[in-house]
Amino acid sequence: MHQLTLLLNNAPAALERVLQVTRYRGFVLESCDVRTEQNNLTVKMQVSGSRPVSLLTSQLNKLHDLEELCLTSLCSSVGDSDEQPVVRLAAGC
Amino acid sequence: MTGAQAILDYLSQQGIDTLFGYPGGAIMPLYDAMLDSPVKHYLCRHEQGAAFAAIGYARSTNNVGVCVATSGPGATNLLTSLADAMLDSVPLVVITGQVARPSMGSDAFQEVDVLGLSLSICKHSMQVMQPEDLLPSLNEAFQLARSGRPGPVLIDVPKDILLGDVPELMALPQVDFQYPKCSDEQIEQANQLLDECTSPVVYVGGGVGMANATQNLRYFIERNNFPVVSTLKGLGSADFRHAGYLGLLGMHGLPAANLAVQQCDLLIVIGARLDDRVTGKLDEFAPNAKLLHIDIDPAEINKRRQADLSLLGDLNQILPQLTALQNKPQWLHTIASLKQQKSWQYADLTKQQSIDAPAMLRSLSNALQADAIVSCDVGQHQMWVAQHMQFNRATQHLSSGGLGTMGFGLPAAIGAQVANPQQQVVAVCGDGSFMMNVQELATLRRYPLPVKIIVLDNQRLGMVKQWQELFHEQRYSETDLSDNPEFSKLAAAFDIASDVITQGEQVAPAIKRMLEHKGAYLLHVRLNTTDNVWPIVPPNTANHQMWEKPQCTS
Repeated sequence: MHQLTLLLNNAPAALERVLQVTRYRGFVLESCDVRTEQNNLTVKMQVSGSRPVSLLTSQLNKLHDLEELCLTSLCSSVGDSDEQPVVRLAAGC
Repeated sequence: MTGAQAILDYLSQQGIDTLFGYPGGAIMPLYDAMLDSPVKHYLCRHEQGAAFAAIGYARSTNNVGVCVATSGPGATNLLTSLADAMLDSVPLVVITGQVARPSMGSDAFQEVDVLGLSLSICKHSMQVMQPEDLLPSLNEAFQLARSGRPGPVLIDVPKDILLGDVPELMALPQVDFQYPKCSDEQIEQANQLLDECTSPVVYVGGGVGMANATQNLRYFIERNNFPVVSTLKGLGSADFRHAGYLGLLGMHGLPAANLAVQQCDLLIVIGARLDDRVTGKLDEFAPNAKLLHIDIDPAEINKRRQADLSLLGDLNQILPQLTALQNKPQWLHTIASLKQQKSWQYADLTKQQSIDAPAMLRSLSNALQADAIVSCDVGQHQMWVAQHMQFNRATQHLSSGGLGTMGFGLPAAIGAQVANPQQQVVAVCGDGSFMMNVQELATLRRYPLPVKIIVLDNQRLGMVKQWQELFHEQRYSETDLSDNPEFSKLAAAFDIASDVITQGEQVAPAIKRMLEHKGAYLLHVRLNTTDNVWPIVPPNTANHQMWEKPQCTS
């Protein structure tokens, strides 16, 4: 299970696109919380999948409406989480 | 100024003088404004044809192609082309009309949620909901389409915004794109890899041509005498005259190319994505090689195979920094022997009753001008083109790679001819694919454009038939196309000159007549129904276990 926190421009279909990429790249949405703040959307979602989560984050990173992405990998034992901010490498690529 | 006028003014200011499209209800204001605009619109006869023409324009020039269509069916007809552009990283801006804002969401006539439909097949999709957003969105669309790894961008504009006033854009804002950059340490590590390897191979993809990095690539290859293989989209980037050039790799790759990759100890992947048609059985692909992966898109690194080292960024900045010098005479000797041993023996067409497609296409390649542009459809003929024709630039070979879209060839050739009016443009089509966008013969006649069409006709859906023969116990299901129309009569209906050939000795004079003809021309080439593409790597098989012709025809 992985927790992703995304800051998006609140553009039409920005959230749909995140959800499409998540499904298409082989991850299941376990939970999702969306908050609107002025021109931004903050999306906190938990996803599961058998593939390396980097295959998802690298694709999410390409979304033009994504401002920030932070990944927290949730380990199986309670309290053993390892927060890894993922640097956005390539806007617009 | 109306939204429609503002769009055309913007295009004009940006130096974009060509549009491909098809009119309809919601996009009518734009078509009305075209009557007073210097931007030239080319009417195709289907929105898919229009978008493929825009792709042909973009791929043959390395510029953005622009296409317009109306809402509803106009927009849905574009979707295949958007997916094609997405998978082949083609810079495209597609403008669709939408029903007026008050009608949106009411299942209005010709209303469809094209924004939603396009999300997964576009680099980015936008819907303009406020007049003041129109020009900034359009400006952003053009910058996005060509930035980084290029791709299609859709901009959906409601009719009332096209009709109403929009504020002028005083200054064109530049979108702040952050490109990946590799560190000095990574460059040093790459040079170390180059220094330490004993048997390197350069694997060239479509990213090289799109980055305008052909010159730097060729210098990198020549300076080090690297053996080089190419993907479908990479063809034309490396110099085919280079001693170590081995041609296409992958499922229908040439034997020497596949064998060299399987033997190498360093695979230098440049502007490519290790696509499944290239790698064959992934865990047996280049089994002895370290992988040095150089690309603009971080998402391609480690996607299908872990790279030992990746360099992210602009190829024109990275390649000149890879200065380690190679001198591997033993490996070059191995490559030279492999190339000589596996060189293709072309049939002598003058001594053949039937027409051998590889020999015919090599003969065509030799007859064309050095800057000729060749488009093709998808299937057996596409692989023969990739194997046997030679290209000096990637912009000269237009082939639907990632999506593999039948019907691509004719409209792509139309777009390429519009963009390059002085160059020879040839569409090599299969009889199955040709029928998929055959309505574009009307576009050829309308303008008129001197595109030469070669229909390689085996009366079959050839590649599917080949798989049914080899992997489905010869159970042929719906691949017999022997009821195709008479193609020369079809051409005549559009006032297009034509010729039909059936024998090897007719090939050379027929090609000569075709190329000397001033206008559009259709050469119908009848092939044996049984001919197949060799070699082939069967599904889930390593590339070195490809089936070459001798093993399979016994």
